[in-house]
Order: sequence, then C-alpha cells, then structure tokens
Amino acid sequence: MLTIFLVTSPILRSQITYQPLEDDPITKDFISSQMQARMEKDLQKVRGEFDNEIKEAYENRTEKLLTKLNNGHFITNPTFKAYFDDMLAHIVARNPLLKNQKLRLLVSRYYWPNASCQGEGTIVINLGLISRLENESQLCFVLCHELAHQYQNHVNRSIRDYVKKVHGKATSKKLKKIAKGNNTYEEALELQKSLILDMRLHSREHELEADSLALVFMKPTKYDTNEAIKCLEILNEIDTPKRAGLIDFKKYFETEEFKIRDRWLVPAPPTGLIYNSEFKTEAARDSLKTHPDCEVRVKAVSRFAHAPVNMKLDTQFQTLIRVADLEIVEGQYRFEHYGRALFNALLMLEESPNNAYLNTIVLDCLYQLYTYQENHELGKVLSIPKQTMDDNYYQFLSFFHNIRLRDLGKLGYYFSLKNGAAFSKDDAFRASQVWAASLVLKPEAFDPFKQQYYTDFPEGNYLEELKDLNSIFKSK
Amino acid sequence: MNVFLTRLVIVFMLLTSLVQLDAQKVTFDNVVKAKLTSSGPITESGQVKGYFFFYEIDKVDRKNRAYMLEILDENMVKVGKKKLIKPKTTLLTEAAYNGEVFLFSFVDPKKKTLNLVTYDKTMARKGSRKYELDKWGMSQLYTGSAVSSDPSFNKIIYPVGNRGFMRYTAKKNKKLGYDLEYLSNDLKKANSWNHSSDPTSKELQFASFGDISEKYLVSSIMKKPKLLGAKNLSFHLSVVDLTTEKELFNKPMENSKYLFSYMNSFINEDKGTFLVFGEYFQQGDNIMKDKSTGLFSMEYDIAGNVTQEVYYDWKKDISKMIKVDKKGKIGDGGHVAFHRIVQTSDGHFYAIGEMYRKAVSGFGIASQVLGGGGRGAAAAAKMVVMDMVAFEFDADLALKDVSVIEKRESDVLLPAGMGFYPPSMLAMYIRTLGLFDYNYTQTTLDKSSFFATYTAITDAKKRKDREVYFGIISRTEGDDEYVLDRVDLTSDATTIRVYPAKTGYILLTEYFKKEKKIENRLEKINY
Repeated sequence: MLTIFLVTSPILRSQITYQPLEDDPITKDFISSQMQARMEKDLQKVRGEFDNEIKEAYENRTEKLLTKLNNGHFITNPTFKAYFDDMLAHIVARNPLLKNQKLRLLVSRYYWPNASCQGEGTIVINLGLISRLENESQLCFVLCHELAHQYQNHVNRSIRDYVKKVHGKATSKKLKKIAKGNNTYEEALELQKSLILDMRLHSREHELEADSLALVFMKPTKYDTNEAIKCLEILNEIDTPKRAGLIDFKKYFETEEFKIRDRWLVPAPPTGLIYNSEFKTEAARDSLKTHPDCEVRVKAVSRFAHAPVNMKLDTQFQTLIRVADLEIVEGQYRFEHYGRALFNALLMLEESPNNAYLNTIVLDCLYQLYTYQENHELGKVLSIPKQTMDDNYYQFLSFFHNIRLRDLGKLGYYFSLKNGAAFSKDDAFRASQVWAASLVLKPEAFDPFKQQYYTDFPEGNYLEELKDLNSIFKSK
Repeated sequence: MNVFLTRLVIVFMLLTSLVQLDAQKVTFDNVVKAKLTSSGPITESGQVKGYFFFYEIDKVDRKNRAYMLEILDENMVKVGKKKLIKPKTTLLTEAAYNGEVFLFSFVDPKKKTLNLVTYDKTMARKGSRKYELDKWGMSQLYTGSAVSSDPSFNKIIYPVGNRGFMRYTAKKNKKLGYDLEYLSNDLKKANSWNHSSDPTSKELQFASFGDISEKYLVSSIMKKPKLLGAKNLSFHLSVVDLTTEKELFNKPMENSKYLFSYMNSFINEDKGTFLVFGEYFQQGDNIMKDKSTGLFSMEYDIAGNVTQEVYYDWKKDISKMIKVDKKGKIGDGGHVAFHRIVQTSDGHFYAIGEMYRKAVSGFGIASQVLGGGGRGAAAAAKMVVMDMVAFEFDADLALKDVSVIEKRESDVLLPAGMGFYPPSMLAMYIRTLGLFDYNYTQTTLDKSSFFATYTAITDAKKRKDREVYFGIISRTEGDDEYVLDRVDLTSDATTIRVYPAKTGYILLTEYFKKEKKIENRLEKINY
C-alpha cells in the first residue's frame, strides 16, 4: 500500500506542483461512528467511586476528538491514511498481544512535533512529528510507543487517578482548610501545582514503561529497532527548528519598481526586560521535548539488544516527509494561521523554488494578511514577534510588523511578477495573482489584467470567485 | 492610568483548566479567584513599555488585603509578578519605567497616603517612599488618572534617563503651588532634590510637564490669582538642568507686544535650545477670554534669551491655508483647541487640534424650563466639538499646511451657569474633563511617523445606523498626505475599548460578560 500511495501521490508525478489532500466525508463518518461506539462501550465499563466524573471525562474526550475530526484537524484522505493503517496492521499482525485492541491511527495537521494516545483506541501522530523523522523505523517506534500506552491503559488509569485525587477526601479537606485561611490564592495554587506534579511523575514512569514495551512490539516487525535510539535522539533536539535559515525578503519580493526598505528588515528591538522563568515554561508548546528527559529514555532503550543495522536509504519515506511539510502549510492556511503558513512556504521555497503550490500559497497568505490588517484583525492570524521565538520566525514576524499596509499590499503582486513566469499556465497561481493585483493596480490596469486570466483559462476553476473582484487600489 | 479597564472590575477565574467539582464542595474555582483593582500601561517617555495588572487575591484581615501586581511587556507577554499586602482600599494610580526600574504609585484614599515603590527588572524591591496627601494632592491624583488614556497626558511621573524620575505635584502654600521633585531609583530622600513655587506667592501656580532629556527638564507654569475666574492668567517657562539640579531660568512668557499661552515644547540638547509653541495675544488681552491673534513658535537658549521667534497670524498667515472669518473663527466657524504638537524625524512639526464652538442647547433650555432653572439643570449652552485639524510646520518653522479631518460633531452639555464663560475657557474646562473626542498622540521610536487618535461616530443619516469608531490620523516622513484609519468599535463583546500600545499599534480589549473573560489583542494601525 505504501508503494501505491507514493506512486499515486501527485508529488511523485511532478516536482513542480502539489495538490493538497482532500478530506473524505465517508471516512470521517466511519471514524466518527467508531469513536462514539467505543465511548459507549467504555462508559458501560465504568463503575465504582467517582464513576460520574470519570464518565464525564470520557465523554469530554470523545467530544473533543469528534470536534477536531469534524473541523478537519485529522487527515481523512483514504490513500494517505492507508499508508499509516498498513503500518498499524503490520505491527498488530506481528504482536498477538495487540490483536484484541480496537485501534485507529489518525494523522493530525498540527505542525508541532508530537504524538499521543487518546486512551480510547485512537493514536494521533502530528504532521509536525512525521516531518522531523528520518525513516519508517522511527515512525514505527513512535507508533509502538503510543500503542504501548494504549495496551497498558495508561491514559484511562491517569484519568481515574486524577479524578480520585482532585475529588478525593484529602484534596477536599485541604481545599476547605485553605478556603478558611488568609492565604487562599497562593495555597490553592500550590495545591494545584502539587497535583499536576504528581501527575507528571506518573507520566514519567509511563513514558519509560511505554518505551520498553514499544521495543517489544517493534522487534517482530520488519522495522529496525536501532532506530528507536535515533528517534529519541531526534526528539531530544526537537525544539531546534527544522529550517533555521532567515527569509531573504529582497530575493523574493524586490523588483525595480518595488524596493524592500532596510528598516522593514530590522527586527523589533528587545524589550530589555527580565522575564520570570516561571512564565517562560508556561509558554512552551507541548512537544515531545516536553516529555520526560529524552536522554534518560535513550539510555533506557539502549539497554535492549538490537538487530544489526541494515537500513537502506529510505527514499520513499523522504517523499512522505515532503508531503507532511506541504500539508503542514496547507493545514496552517486552512486553520487561518496565515502568518505561519507563509513563513513555512517561504522557507520551503528555498528548496523548491519551482513549486507552483508553494508560490500560490505565498500569494494567498499575503492577500489574507492584507485583508486582516485592513480590518484591524491581523493579531488573529499573525503573531506578535517575541524574543522567545526562533530567530528566523522572529525576523519574519518583525518584517510584517514593520511594513505598512500599502506596502504589504504590494508584496504579493511584485512576488508574482518576479517569480511567476514559470506558472503562467497554472490556474491556481494565475487566479491568486489576479487577487494580488487587485490591491495594487488601478482599475484601468486591473480590468485587462483580470480579463487576461479569463482569456487564458476559459474553463478555469476560479471564474466564479473572481467575477466580482475589483481593484481596491488606494492612492499610495 | 487606572482608567484602563475602569468599571470593568470583574472576577476572573485563573484555573479554568481544572475539573469543576460539585456545587456543595469547596472548589478550586471558588478558592482561586481574583478581583482586578487597577490596571494600565507602563510608560517610558510617552512610549508604552508594558502593562500592569493589580488584583486583589486574598483577604488578610479586616483592614488589609493581599494583592498581586503582575507586569506584562509591550507584547502582552508576562514578565513577572509580586505579591503585596496593602490596605483594602489601595489603588494603583500610575506606573512608569526608566529602563532600569519600575515605579508604582499606590494610593490609599482612606488614609490619604501615597506610597511610591520601585522594583528592578527582576521585580526585587529597590526603594519605597511614603507621602501624606492633602486635598490638592488627592484631587491631582484623581484628575491625573481619570481624565485621559493618553500615555503622556496627565501623568505626573516622568523618567529621568535610567537614573530616576521627576514627579509633578501640587503643594499647599499660601495659595496653591507646585513642587517638581527628583526621585532616584532607590527613592531615598537623601538623593532627592526639588524645585518649588514661592511659598509666599499670592498667585495660584500650576506646573505642567513640557519635555525632558538626559540633561534638561522643561515645564510650563500657569499662574492666576484665583482658582475660579478668568482674570490675569499668565504663563511662565521653567527649565531645570538635571545634572546640576539648578533651575536655568523661570521666565514669564510675554514681550512688549504680546502675551503667550503655552502648548508644547521641544528640547534640542545638542544646540542647548528649547522650542516652545503656543498662541499669542495682544498685551492687555485676557488669555482666557479673548481670541488669540495667532500661533507662535519661540526658541530659547539656556539663559532664557529668545533666539528665534515666528508668528502665524490667524488673519494674515493662517487664512492663506484655511478660511478664517473676521472674528477669527476658522473653517466652518470654530475655534481651535490644540492638544499636542509632535516633531517627526524630518524636522517637521505637526500641531494636532480640534475645532469647537459654543452653541445654544435645546435640551438645556428644555431642562431649565421644566426644572425651573434650579441646581442640577443643564445650561442653555453646550460646546460643539467639531472636526480635527492638523497644522504642519517645516523644519524652518514655516507654516506649510492646515488640514481639516472631518468627523461628526459631538455635543458636550454644560452645567448650569457655565454658559456665560468664553469659548476658550470652556474649551479648557472640557479638556480637563477629557470631553473632547481626541484621545492621544504617539510617535514611532524613530519618529518617522506619528499617530493622533480620537473617538467619533459614523455619519449615517439614521441615528440607529450610527456606530462608534476609533479614528487615527497618521503622517509618515516622505508622505505628502495624512493617512486616516478607522477601527470599528462594534463587536460581539459586551464592551470593546481601545488603549494606547507600543507605537504603531493599539490595544483592543474586548470584555465578554457572559463568559467572564477579557480578550486583549494588539493590532497594527494602518498607516
């Protein structure tokens, strides 16, 4: 199935364009009914102390997953999904222990590197994690790790423990005592912290346990267990950005008529303030790096015997990584994270300057940023540059916060002139170019520009959408 | 600036992520709650550098409360927090930052005390100083904090380099006077020095901040014999050398021909000169009552000598740029109240003002007839606040342009008895109460752009279709026109407010009553 996916993948057919994966409503409905059925089954099994609270937690979990599923957070494209389902089937087939588990593997569109076991049979792997792995064996190890959590019922046990702790007599007694005192705020926060710490200690034990069992699950498969160590080493460095280069704005946008001013490139000056470390950790994105010490896990995993290294260059997996990278951009655009989508698209253009999809999404993101800024809603789709960010993202955001609306409007149009010659026959690119031109060209110049699209693409996909588009050129 | 989120005293939950417990039980949600007492921007030389949130977290005893003082940077990123025990009526009225320390002004209105406290960048306490406040001190704190959201307007504390702060206070002398007090970062009395008005003066004297640099402090001193009344108002200009702690000069703003009223000043530290803008009047005129002859700019050296003076007569000079009638009314028949003058990096000066006129109030007349004209009835007069206006002067101080930025007129009803005062005095009155549409003006750090802001309503024909918006007038070096931007203030939120932010941005604060949440969003100004 892997071969089928890669052969049918448009990216293999052509290196110059990419067709984003479409979601499949039938698959979606099927997953949804599976999740609901599993929840009903799980609810029936809950008995004993705090059963209502545990049931409520189970219901909330499924509700959240269904919301994400319905909002397109998980990729349901059958061809793409089949690749992962095949790997899951292979692992299960080689591990009789897993045969009775009702499992489903979902790939989320999230850009941050993480994978999770939801505890009700769903394993989620973020595109951001796939993008950072090197081969199928590493992906297999991640999957086996999450399957181990599922096999050991870690999540449901954690829910039960948490509910018992928070609702238990001891906590209730402590809270009552705190409420009567004069230092309620701080003491309650302390209590909360201790509960969270307690949960994290349990979680750390679970991670080590899951690593060990993951190797057991992985061993009978066709994948290389040596890659488990490499995988953990990658996770240890996961906070280092995959593409750390600075965006060369002049290269992409500057033309004879439109100059990139040096002052737009100057990053926002540091505030000079000293930030409390407690707040820094609050801001940390939940990535696998935030899981318990990867170095400790590497040592623990290394104690197991491994088969001799015999990995061939995994070129097919490289294609999967590339699809993941492109789908991350697509996901960010769909979730209206236009700043992130543009940033990643520009970074990827360094490697693939002739990719029509990436060039088109740059235009689309710039148009969206313009519209949001004009309506004073830019803050919803583009972050404020903060010193804690990666250098290249900080530089990118600073540029867009330094530039004025009128110049932001010009970026797309001049980008399309400078880089678009190769995509004159690409319907999507040309349509996006018309949108970009509507911000820059005067009506008398815009109308023939738009007409040219209609002439070149008499059966284009965007005729209807462009029908009412007019120049919104402003005097500057 | 405790107007920031004023009246939005809300209880907000900090542990929303925790599982809710049974109603009968004590829960995290009802134990860990906080009441926002005061909040606002932290400024450094007119620039917003961050925000403070001062909220009550615990009852310590009958008289005292535990508060949390939390600092966010200009990007709304949390910087640090500090727990404080203070009397239950404590308010945080002002915050300033000088690159080295934060200074906070805590007021206990019940005990009439002011407690200034400085913290370093790690929120470690550097110094503390207590003051007893008389009624003038109290009123100054209230007016200073309540009338404007302008980060530079009505503040009383200004950073001096990164070594200290200058504090403007009212002082009870024979009559009301002023005191300019220097405070070092450690707030030790031994490191302080001050310049005060003559305690034996028979005039009331008010000092206002003009401009500050590493070396100099410029202030305007307004003098008048009586608190109420319009007679004999005069302005003085005071310049203090912050390195020698000496007052370089304190001179009346007048010459043989004219009287001058003060608007704004600019220090040129390299040249050792001080440029002052204002309006001028004929000798013998009453500054409060009479129409000014025009605008002026005047440059002083460190000895207080006038080295350059330029006059812009309403009828002779300004009328070339905009219609001025025989009575000196401009445009569609209004006077101009100037709010702020800024200088941009190309050396140009822009004076931002608002036109106004006095008019008869239909509502006021009805109120007087129905109410018998007794106390509490509105006056038969009102102030009509009209269009914004911007005067541009080039680097050589030549008047280059006068532009009118149209907005819908708004009415300010005057209390009974005030209708007899002249328009210029009424303009001063409504400015003190913050009733002009103007909000504040900022320049970018490199001074390449400035932004003057106001609040107005749209001009739809039907009243129900009119909506409130936040208007921004900007000008950028190299441009030959103003850019106008409007932020629509209609929202799904219960209330939406705009507050000053780092330059080039506004802070939009949306309060959702049902969800008990506040959403803060920094948004770029379109310029």
